[in-house]
Amino acid sequence: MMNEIPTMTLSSQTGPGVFFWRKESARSTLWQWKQSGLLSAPQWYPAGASIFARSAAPRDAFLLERGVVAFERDPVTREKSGIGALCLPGNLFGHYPGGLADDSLHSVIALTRCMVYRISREKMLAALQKGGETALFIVCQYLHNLLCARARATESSTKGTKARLEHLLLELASVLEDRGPAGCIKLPLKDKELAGILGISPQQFSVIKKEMEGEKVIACFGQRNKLALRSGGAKIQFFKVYGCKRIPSIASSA
Amino acid sequence: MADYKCPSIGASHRAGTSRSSNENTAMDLMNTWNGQSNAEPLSWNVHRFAGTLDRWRRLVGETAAVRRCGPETLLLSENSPARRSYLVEEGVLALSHHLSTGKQVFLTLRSRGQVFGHSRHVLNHSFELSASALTDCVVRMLDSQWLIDQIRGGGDAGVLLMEQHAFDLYESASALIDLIHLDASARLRKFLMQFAAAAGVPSGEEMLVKVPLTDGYLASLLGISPQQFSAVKRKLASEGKVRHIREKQTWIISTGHHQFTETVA
Repeated sequence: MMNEIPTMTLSSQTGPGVFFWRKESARSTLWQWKQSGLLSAPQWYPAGASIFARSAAPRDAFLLERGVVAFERDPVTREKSGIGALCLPGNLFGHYPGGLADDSLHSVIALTRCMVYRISREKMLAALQKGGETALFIVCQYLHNLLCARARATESSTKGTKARLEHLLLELASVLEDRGPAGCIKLPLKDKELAGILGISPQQFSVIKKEMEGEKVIACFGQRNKLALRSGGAKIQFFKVYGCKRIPSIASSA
Repeated sequence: MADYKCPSIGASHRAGTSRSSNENTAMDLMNTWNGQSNAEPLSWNVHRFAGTLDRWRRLVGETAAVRRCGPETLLLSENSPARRSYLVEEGVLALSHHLSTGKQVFLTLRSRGQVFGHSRHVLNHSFELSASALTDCVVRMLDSQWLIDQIRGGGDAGVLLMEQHAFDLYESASALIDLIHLDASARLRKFLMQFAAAAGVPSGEEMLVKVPLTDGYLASLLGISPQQFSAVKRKLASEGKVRHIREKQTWIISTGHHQFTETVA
């Protein structure tokens, strides 16, 4: 039985920042989804697990509660990653709508251990047909996710690559919970994957990383598997983990 | 067109080949996605499910004002009333985001049966969108508050919007990945194919698409310089994939969607 969502918190938010990931906003969104009664039992995926393959894009939607997932196509070359975008907690993914060409499909993998809810397309359609605040919430969530994706796509025209890398690392620092040696945040992305997310080549990424090192914004040490970011007076340390081997889809209930 | 060399398409044009190319329309392809045809869809990522416009028309009725406009008409800008949104009945529009530098970033196309402009009121956001007609268009003006009331009231409005947004959301992720996987020439070809589908151009071995956009505008859509754009056009023409007849604002595209998988070396 679906519960009615009491309020629409999205409609009270303004400003461009609303389209970038924030922990509080994600928590609020997840809480509202849980009130809708539309979510499946949570499923856990280990790091590297395929949530769904490119050839098996589901019509249902998925909601990420914990972890980071990546949208991936087959790597172009050995040097170049196939990862093109990330999905962070509170965001929707999946819901293959049909009508897209084969070369536009992507697979979704868990970059870290992830907690995911499945949202049945049929249940959503029933809720939309019924109407009420739940229906408006669903439409608003899709719209919000869409504008977030567009804001992200537009960012490459409004911000320099260095600023985008800094922003990406700050976002990941907020999301990633696993800690490595000396409390470092475990970063499950190689340089070529970070380059892919920023839409630049690994060579370009190497150049801007060196420039940022020169500007003392980032520091690489410990055989270059540690990365420190200085931002807003704070120092955030990452420890790169490369153990994210691709594994077939395995999910377990909570 | 006599000197235009069309590459072999036999392998990629698998279904619907028994029909003449002019009979095999974009709508056939859209029907395929709904299981209404045996024809195989090409790589035209355009949301145009059969019956969408009729379903919207039934909701909107005849009371909403109709507006007709020609190419380059600005329908939506930062100065537009926040409650105004539109339903596209005919034609193709581009949604873009204006930057403080005066540049614009292309976001997506809107065509028959799609709604745009509602996000400003529904989400009360400040992510400025503009919408300009790329072809002759017929749009119906809607009050975004009416849309909200329709969603709350239950029925088709919420379903139609969710389906449109779900398509856009999936496609936007694909577009981000395309930036990495496809070079500018493949992205130009993909854009032209999408434009052709949105404009309802019949599919065939060669498709003629009238695109009333300058090279500079198209270059900005692809995120490349006008100089790079010229090089991209030359490359596509030499490969026999796309040819531009500038004086007629027409692009000739040879089909063969397998070519989209080409990547940067």
